[in-house]
Amino acid sequence: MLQYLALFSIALFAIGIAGMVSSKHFLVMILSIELSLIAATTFVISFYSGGYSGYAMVFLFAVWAIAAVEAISLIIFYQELIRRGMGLDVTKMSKIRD
Amino acid sequence: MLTFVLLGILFTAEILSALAVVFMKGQVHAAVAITAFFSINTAIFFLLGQSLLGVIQFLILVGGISTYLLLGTGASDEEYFKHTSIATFVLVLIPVFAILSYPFLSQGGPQLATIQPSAQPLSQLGFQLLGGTSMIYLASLLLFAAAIGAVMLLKRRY
Repeated sequence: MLQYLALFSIALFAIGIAGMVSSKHFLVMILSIELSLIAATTFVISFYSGGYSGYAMVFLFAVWAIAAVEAISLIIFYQELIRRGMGLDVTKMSKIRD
Repeated sequence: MLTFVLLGILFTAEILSALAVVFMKGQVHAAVAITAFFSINTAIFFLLGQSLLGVIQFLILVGGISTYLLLGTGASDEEYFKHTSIATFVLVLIPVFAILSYPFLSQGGPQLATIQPSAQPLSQLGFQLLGGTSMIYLASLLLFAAAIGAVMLLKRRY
């Protein structure tokens, strides 16, 4: 059971990493990092299945806080890119310096 | 037995929603897919017996982050373009999965040790959190800095 959970979390983490590397869409790249973060929480919680999980709490809170910060930054940059008419293709983002 | 079946269904649904996040063309669709991903992950927490963590995760991820993502992406025009290369995706996915899962699949590799459930009361949770206070302060500082940066960026005029 534990091995299945661990493999499932690793599969989610791999999807997140592969999505981040293979995409050139700004929003999809950041959402893929979110996928990897949540896969990490699933991996941690699979060790505590059915038991006391207080030890994992601090780690989970840190991950959730990072995910929240990431979402805020994502939407701000997203709105900024749309407002400047630059599009969401990261290959064209060198224009952001202009 | 029912738990295993439900977990299998949820695992499949979560993998599909993760793939939908990567391959959906519209950004609102990607935001909806990640909302589904968060919700299914919370359901898995409940099935694993971690209802407290499940509730907290649901409030933070679905109540907070997903709402923000949906509103933020929905407020702008959608932009469609082919953004993800399937070949590159598969080329990265397989080695990462193989390398990370090798210790769990190989016979001679390190075996996972289940952490035994202990009978510690919920009041111990406060002490656990107290031990990691610095990390929580750091995380909240990051959140605060990001919020200030967001306001500053929004106030700028071009």
